[in-house]
Amino acid sequence: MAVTDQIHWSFQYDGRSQAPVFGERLIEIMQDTVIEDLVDDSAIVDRYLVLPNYWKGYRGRGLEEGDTQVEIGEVVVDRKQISSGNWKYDVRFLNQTSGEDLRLDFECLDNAFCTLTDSWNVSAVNGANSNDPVTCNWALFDVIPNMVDVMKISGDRISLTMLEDLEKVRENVRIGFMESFDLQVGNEVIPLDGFFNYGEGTLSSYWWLDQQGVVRIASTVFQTLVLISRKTGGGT
Amino acid sequence: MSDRPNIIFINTDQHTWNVISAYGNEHVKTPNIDRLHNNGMSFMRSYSSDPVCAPARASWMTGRFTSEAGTPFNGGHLHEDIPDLGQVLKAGGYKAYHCGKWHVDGRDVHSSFDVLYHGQYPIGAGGAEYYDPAITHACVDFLTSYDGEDPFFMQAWYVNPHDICEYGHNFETKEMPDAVTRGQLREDELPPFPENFEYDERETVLHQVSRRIEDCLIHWPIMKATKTWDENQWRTFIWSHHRFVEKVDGEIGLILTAVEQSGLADNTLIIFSVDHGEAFGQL
Repeated sequence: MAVTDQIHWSFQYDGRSQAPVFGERLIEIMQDTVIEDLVDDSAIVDRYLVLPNYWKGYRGRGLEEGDTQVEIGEVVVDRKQISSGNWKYDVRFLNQTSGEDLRLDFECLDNAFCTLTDSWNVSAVNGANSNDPVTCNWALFDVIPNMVDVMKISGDRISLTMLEDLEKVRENVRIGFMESFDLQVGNEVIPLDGFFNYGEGTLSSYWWLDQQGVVRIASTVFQTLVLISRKTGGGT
Repeated sequence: MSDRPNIIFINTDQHTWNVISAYGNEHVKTPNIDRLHNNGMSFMRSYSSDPVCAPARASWMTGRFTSEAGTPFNGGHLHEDIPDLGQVLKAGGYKAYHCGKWHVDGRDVHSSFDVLYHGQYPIGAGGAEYYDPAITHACVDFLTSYDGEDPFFMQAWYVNPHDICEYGHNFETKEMPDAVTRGQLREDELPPFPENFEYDERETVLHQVSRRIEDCLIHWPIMKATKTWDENQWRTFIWSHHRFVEKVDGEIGLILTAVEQSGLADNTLIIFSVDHGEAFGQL
């Protein structure tokens, strides 16, 4: 069986990719992933490489001859617990296709939903009026790991309001457990737990966590984020 | 401030006409397009001149039928001697700005408009996930900083919900997931199956050739794949289209808010349209 035949459908995009084949590159990245032992859980920096899911739409008509650089950018999620107990996030998404260098910083309460602190007057500005906790889409890298037991063991979905990119309110966002999956990465098998994320104004996305609760893969319609490194204890 | 109004032309791509909550569709929430409808006028008998991306856009830009303009299909080049809207507006004293997808084949957008944002690479079919937020950011930057004496025309041409096509192509090579059976969606959350789904067996030979004969359509692989879809899979596909619509509605909301907050609203005409819809397997 080919390496990429063993990839779960929710992050399998070989059918629409160019050489190098999407799945092979995904596995290569995962073989190179470096996850530091947890020495200080009050400061964590995750770095993801972003793979395009489609050959069209990200470099004009596609890759040029000899171009083997498939990745279209990287995401860095840097969070630190500050003296108030809240979490300070610095997120950077460098997207070489759109040309945008998106940088967001925001603060969340120290709870499972990573609720945005009240400096975000979402109700007045954007009209969100649900009772769901309000978080940022970039905090899902922690919200989903925080809620694994609730979703996986009880089968419950969680419901959120998301302030997408700190700009757009997305209500009735639901996240739930999908299934477990063993991913063959070289000689290693990585057991993963998969979660779906559906909702109003939200791209369907699939999140895959390892047994330590680290988001290893996050796949939307057009792009797939693959963890390349996790550092703890500060520094980038 | 000029006594002539500023004009903003917003369009979405592959957006079916009735997938707007203000038109009574209960399976989508488009509060921002609804704002335009509720505060303006909807032309319910307007039609795309040629419901394919490049032809429709060439018609918008020239006011010509695509048969006249040389653009009756994607890749057809707009005749050089036909002026476009950007050129006409500039000659009339307007500042003319373009932002987003262009896809008027044969005409360099830079020759007609000042370009606010056009993608790191030319924006083709799909890629809203990359481009639409960047389009919004460029438009909002422009609207909140414009201090010119001349009136302006700004067009924001978004990509979504066109990403539904790429979503669909994905299932040419793998099974479309049934989110209902998986317990991820309730069946009553899915939009209804189109009433006119079954094709009319009296259709013309041309229709038969273009729609039913293997390999006669550029998108035959996805057409072939959909032949195995059951009703819930089709409805999940439609449900997904509606989410893409909501995505771009959020982007439009940021532009409308920028217009209001920048003090431009009283002297700005906002036009919203769509190049073509998504058929959802309907006739």
